[in-house]
Amino acid sequence: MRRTGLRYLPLLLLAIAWELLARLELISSSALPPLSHVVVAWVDLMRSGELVSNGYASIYRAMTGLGLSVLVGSLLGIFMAWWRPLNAFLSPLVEIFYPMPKSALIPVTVIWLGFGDGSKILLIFLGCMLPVTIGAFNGARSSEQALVWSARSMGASRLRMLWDVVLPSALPELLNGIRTALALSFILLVSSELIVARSGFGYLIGFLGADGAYEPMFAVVLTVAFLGFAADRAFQAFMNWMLRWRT
Amino acid sequence: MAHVTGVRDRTSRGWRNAPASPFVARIGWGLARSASIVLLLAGWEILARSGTFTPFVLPALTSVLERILADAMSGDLFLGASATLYRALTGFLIAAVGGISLGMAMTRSIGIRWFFDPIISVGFPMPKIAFLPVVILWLGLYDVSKISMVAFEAIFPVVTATIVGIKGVDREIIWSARNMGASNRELLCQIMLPAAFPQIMTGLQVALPISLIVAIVTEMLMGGNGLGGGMMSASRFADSPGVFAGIVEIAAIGYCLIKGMSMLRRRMLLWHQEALEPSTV
Amino acid sequence: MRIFKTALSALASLMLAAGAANSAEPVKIRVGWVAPVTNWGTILLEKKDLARHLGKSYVLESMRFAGTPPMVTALANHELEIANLAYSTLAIAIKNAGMDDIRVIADEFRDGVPGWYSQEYMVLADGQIKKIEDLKGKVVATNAAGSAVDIASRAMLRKHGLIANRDYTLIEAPFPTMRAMLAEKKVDLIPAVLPFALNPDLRKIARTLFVQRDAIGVTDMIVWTARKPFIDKNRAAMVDFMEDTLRIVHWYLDPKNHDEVKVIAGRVVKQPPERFNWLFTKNDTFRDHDMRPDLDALQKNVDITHELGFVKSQLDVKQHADLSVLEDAIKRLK
Repeated sequence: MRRTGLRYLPLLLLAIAWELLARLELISSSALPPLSHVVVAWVDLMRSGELVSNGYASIYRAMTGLGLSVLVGSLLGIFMAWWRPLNAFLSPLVEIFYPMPKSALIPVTVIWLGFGDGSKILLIFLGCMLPVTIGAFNGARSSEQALVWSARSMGASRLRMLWDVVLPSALPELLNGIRTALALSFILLVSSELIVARSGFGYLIGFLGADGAYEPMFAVVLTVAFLGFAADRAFQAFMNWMLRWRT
Repeated sequence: MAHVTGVRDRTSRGWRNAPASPFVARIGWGLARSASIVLLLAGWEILARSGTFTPFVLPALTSVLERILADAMSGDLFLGASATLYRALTGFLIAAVGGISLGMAMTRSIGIRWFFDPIISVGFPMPKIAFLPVVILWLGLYDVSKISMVAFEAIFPVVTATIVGIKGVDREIIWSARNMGASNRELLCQIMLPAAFPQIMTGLQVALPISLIVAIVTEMLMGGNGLGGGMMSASRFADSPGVFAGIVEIAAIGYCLIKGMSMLRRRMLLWHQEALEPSTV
Repeated sequence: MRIFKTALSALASLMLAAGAANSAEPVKIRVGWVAPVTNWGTILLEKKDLARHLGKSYVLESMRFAGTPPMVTALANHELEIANLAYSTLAIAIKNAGMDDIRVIADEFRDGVPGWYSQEYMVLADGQIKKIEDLKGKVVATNAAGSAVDIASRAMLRKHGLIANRDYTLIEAPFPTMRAMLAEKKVDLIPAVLPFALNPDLRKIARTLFVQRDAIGVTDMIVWTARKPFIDKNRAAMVDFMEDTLRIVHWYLDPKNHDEVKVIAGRVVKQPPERFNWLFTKNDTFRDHDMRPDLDALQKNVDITHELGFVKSQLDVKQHADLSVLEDAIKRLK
């Protein structure tokens, strides 16, 4: 208990710094309200149930988009490292759509998917896919040639090798890619919901911010950050468990 | 160098049906690589011309290309692209240098790790764009605030990748280096960094597109020219060719950046086993 | 296995029932909004009890848009039925986006009607800017180029011979940060819109250089629009919807309900109700009791938008207005 307390002490220090910054008017409190006010606003939002209902909508979108990107991205990355024509065909598409701000893609996605959940999931999927693909691709590519050769000389089939040699050696980079994607999914979620939405964290942040209601807005921002934090910690534990053979 | 290429030749022969002429093969791969994009563009033009959509919803590719050409001739394209690139790349460089140093410091010093570890975990998934008003008030509406936003967003993947890379260095290598009397400094510069380099490069590969995205998004939100600002004003005036021209320009620039980065990776990782495989992404 | 089969048949019958309900499905009307509380779309559903036809002949969804560009995109893609457009965006949507079938169907609010609020443009009280000419070479803040707020300030400065980005620098900033931008001398002129204009901290440091009425007269700031094919196809449902809307609007505008209105507004944006003392009073912009737009004012506003070069050609507002649904609804309430 005390150890975890000590571990997260830096966050407390940061929180105190925030409070002081706002209280001493080093930054106009209209732009950055004191943290204590934000906490009060958070309690109100929780009590009215709005944070929960909007959060539910958001998490559904984020998890669907992230799940798709992990599935497609890791398969794509590994097979792209494995079979060159696939790489040649698909990588330009990935490379073109990834460095695009998701809000700029709205005019395109709305043609196909409208303004509903579909377009938001697509944007999260696109944004999360590249880290996963790059991770899987680089990981698979760097699987040790010696291992591959020896497996081959022992008569392993290509598919067998993919499973026994390439996948395990791609795993550390792949998992790190997924970890990046996990964090990105929270950011993308907000930015896709900011533009057009009827529910979700991004919707709350958007309209509260537009009205200058910064206390509840920062309460939502911090909620997103802490959900991301919890997800990241859980994923790290999962990563360590998956990679326990390494050390 | 000769050794490395020798190995590469052997593997390519051993692994794939080596093409008759490397020149023909190169053209073949080039064609395959552009196939998906050509299909995409052809589909766009056909769809736009089919009359299913109004020109506002989906302008024809040709009208968009005309707009890009006009922008290029008048010099607007160059001005916008250079403003955006300047902001994105400056921010990216700050994030790269800062991220690698911070990541290294965090693996070396318990105190620094203690302080930054929870902050990184909380800060990475935070929608930092919400702090834009604070940044504007502190750093103004011009380049400094945009570059800071870029650096602030792009630093996270670099830090995490650096840490994962350094942590993943084989302990046997470290022990044997220690046994051979390597100092801490030597260990870091000659063993750890090179061994972690592929991972760090992966982090940079993720951070670079993020930099471009954040540069454009801040331009869209704060104005101040650049490709993002141009797209924003085009969309305000319902000027669809302008909006789609922006999308195409950003796609082209982003593609070049990602390509350049992976070429750099190949260059710098010639010694690494991954260079043996034909580099792609 | 049996349980599985029962569950499956139950599911199937449920879907059939849903399908049957679908056949008599009420018309879905999606209303867009940008600013909470000041746009009717945000608070209509807070008075559901007055909406007699809601769920019967129509269902209502209110949708937030980060600004007018995505709203015009949504209108073009049939993802939105009623858009509340500023006069400038109305012209842009019809002329630039080529949606000739857009019709003005009702009014939201008007600026500068004598006796009511008019948008203020403020400078530092003890600063160097004494008159508009002093803004030469200075920095002027706006929310977004081409917005209603932006057009009034450009028009006013142009009257005094100042052209944007030639004689002064125009920068964009979010409304909530305007006061701080002015206080920290990052900009020299800010537009102060409701409710930010009423902030006592702003009143302490700033004074009004001009109001929108001085710049362009009475302005029909925001109108409700829909596309003609939709109105024609769903006229009955639209009249029902407008009838409910008018009933709700009447309730909101009734001074008797002011205290309750403040509580609702406070709840919507998570602010204390006292912050909304101005809402729907004389301190607020003018709202027509029956939501009838002022088409003559609107025509003038659209002309200015054209003069400033934001739209390609002139627009005849009367040809793009269809008040028949509104009038039918008003008759029903008589």
